[in-house]
Amino acid sequence: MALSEVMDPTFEQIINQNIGRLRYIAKRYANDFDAEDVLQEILMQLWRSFESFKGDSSISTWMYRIALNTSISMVRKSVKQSKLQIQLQGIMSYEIQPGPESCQAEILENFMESLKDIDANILMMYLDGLSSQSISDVTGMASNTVSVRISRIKKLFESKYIGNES
Amino acid sequence: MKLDDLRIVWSKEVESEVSDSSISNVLSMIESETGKMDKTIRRRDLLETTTALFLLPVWFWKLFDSPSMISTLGLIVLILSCIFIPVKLWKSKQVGNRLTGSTRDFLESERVKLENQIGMLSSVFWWYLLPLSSGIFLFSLGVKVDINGAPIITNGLLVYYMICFIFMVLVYYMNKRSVNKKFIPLLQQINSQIKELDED
Repeated sequence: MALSEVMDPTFEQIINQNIGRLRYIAKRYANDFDAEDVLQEILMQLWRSFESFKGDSSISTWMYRIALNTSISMVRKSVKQSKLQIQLQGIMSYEIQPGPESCQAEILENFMESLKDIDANILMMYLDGLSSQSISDVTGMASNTVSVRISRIKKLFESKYIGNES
Repeated sequence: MKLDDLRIVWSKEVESEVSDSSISNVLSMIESETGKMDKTIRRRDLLETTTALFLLPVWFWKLFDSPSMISTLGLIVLILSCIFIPVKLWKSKQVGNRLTGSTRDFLESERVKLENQIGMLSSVFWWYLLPLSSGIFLFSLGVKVDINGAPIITNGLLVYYMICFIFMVLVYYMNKRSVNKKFIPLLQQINSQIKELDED
């Protein structure tokens, strides 16, 4: 059965609501290859596991797990350029409109860059409003370890940018 | 400026600016690409198994028409290899990726998978090269025998053995190189990622 016939409305809604997050993760992990490669693989893996997704965890937890795990594994392989990737270039080329937040966006980007992958992942989920327990479900770290990491990230951020009002 | 101030920036950053039609296009392509990739994987797995299975009847047929005891022994080794090698390859693929698990579970499964691959490649001599080469060696050695059943070694046979030997050495060293250059660094990378998760 075609995707558009059965699963599409729900799957499409999920992707539509989360494409920005997925795009961000793809860009973060794109090193030796294009971010489109990573995004393509993430979308494929999400689609593959969507049928078996029974709602045991929240959609955010499920999505973050697959997106992060796929990105980690992508660092170990290369993918050929396909028609789909050309289509994805349109999605990836989205840029933030300049505005009062653009300077803060730069701060966020620079700060993310300075973090190790696991801390950057925790920060993404934290900013997305996921609880320590949910972050723990995604990463497999103990919930209190996640809280310790978050407070360490906060301290690090404040030590770098405190008083840096933009 | 506090970290929580970045929540608004983050939500802007991940805000979708993609039209519904582009998402629909991408998703229909995802469906077809996934199908194509699954087919390719199934074909590759099938090819590995069918090559061995295709050779089995050939060896069996030869077994009933074997010119000597040495050849019979070689054919038995080849038949057992054609069963054992695909089973070993199939078993090594049984560790799933666990993409739906936590990062830790995923990394642990990747570590197990890599350790299996390293183990397979490091022992390629014992489970792949030795059975196949000894089977081929015995079979070809027994093709021409004298009336007492002793093998007649011709120059052509010696050249054939030399080519086989060079090929086996090449396969062995390529596997060894791949373990040292590719798989060991990957394993170290995964171990450091797991260690990163354990740091408080």
